Amino acid sequence: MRLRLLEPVAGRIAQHIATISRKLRLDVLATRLPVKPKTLIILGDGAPDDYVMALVAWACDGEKIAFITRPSETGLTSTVRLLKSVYLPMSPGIRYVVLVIDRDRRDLPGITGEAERALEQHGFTISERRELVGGWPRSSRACGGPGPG
Amino acid sequence: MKLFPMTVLLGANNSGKTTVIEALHLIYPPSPACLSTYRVPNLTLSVAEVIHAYHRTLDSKGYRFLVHNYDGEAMLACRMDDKFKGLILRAEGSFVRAYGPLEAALKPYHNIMAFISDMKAVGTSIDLDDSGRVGLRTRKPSGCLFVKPHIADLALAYVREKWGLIRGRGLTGKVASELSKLVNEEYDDLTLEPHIGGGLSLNAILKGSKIGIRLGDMGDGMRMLALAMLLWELSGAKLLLWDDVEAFMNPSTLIYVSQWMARLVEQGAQVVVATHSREAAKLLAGAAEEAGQEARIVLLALRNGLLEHKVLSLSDVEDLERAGVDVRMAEGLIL
Repeated sequence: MRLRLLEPVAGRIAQHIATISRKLRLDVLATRLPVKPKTLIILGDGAPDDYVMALVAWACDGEKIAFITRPSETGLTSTVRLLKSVYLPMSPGIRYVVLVIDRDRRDLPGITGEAERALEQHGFTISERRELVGGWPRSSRACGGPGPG
Repeated sequence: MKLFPMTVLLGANNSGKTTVIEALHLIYPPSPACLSTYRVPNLTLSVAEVIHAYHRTLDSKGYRFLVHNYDGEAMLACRMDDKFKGLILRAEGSFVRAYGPLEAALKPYHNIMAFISDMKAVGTSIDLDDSGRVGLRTRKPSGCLFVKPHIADLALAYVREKWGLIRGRGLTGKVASELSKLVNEEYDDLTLEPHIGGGLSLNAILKGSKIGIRLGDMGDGMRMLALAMLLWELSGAKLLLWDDVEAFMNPSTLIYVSQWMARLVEQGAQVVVATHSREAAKLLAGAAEEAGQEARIVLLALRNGLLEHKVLSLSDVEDLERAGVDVRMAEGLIL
């Protein structure tokens, strides 16, 4: 997978991903235009998640491209609000959204619950819940409807 | 693509910003053979010749760059004040022929596509020769001001030619006083006179000491701004087209430019600028909005030969910023 930056190029994410890509010869930075990826990766926190995503992209060996950015407001609830008010209305081509956050001391059901509450609070309906690989990754399918912006 | 009182074109390299500016420059005047505000020795350039002169700086000669793949034809069409205007550029031999429909032959149109399909029934034509010259030069002014920093020398040559008129209208003191707002010196006049090294140079005159400072020595940004203000006053244009508006401009100078342009829009002019700078785009759109005028930022992208665009308000751009999205990087996301 390759990453297409949305953040200003003077931003930290751009610098970190470009630097690790060059130093480790990962070649994960997508610079060629035009690209219309369907996946958006949102970093809910900062470094070292950007470095980690560069490594994850390299490990997911392939030519698919994903957008990557970090909003100025971090945290799960803020990100879902931006998802509803900015990302989805502005980007009709996006089909998959990945939110990368720090687990801190929270347990997995706590994080999942917070995510689902934030989604429902902003007008999304959770239509399907699945546990993958022994319950570690969890997948929720949600569709957006009218709700608070 | 709808244009607004203030339209700021943003986009990656080769996204079509300059093409849109040049297309407007060609189609706005009554004819591409109308006179511009650029000059070479003994000749004021026509609108088409200005575009040729700029492309010569890119090592591109002739006019075939106006036509896709350097062959065939290109059609330009736009609606201004509910009237349609069109221009066909057709590559023929060693020149490009520009056809415009005879005004008398035009019938009322309800949509632009019907107008385009009928444009084949053309009336008059002018030849744009590979040498850069146009046939059938007209003495009518173009009615729009095209500002391109790369050919500022040709604008300066025009100012030299029209110096008597500039003096007569009292523009030198007015522009000198405006330039004083941007530097730590106070000027009260502009002169065109021999300076060190010979030749006529445009000088800002320091108030009090009356020492002249060449505009060129004050930097490209100040020189371009002074030229643009002089030419705007001189030309009586209603449309300002400025490509690479942020080029050579310090942020404080850009703030001044944004206020100057907002004032033009308030006075009924229309402004279309192209930039690579997000700050410049926000500043220009914001100044026009503050002046109560409609302003939009238009993101452009060229995909498989098609120009795509998205019209954004200043608040859209600010929302994207909050979401970590630089609008200049977002053509794949929002287009």
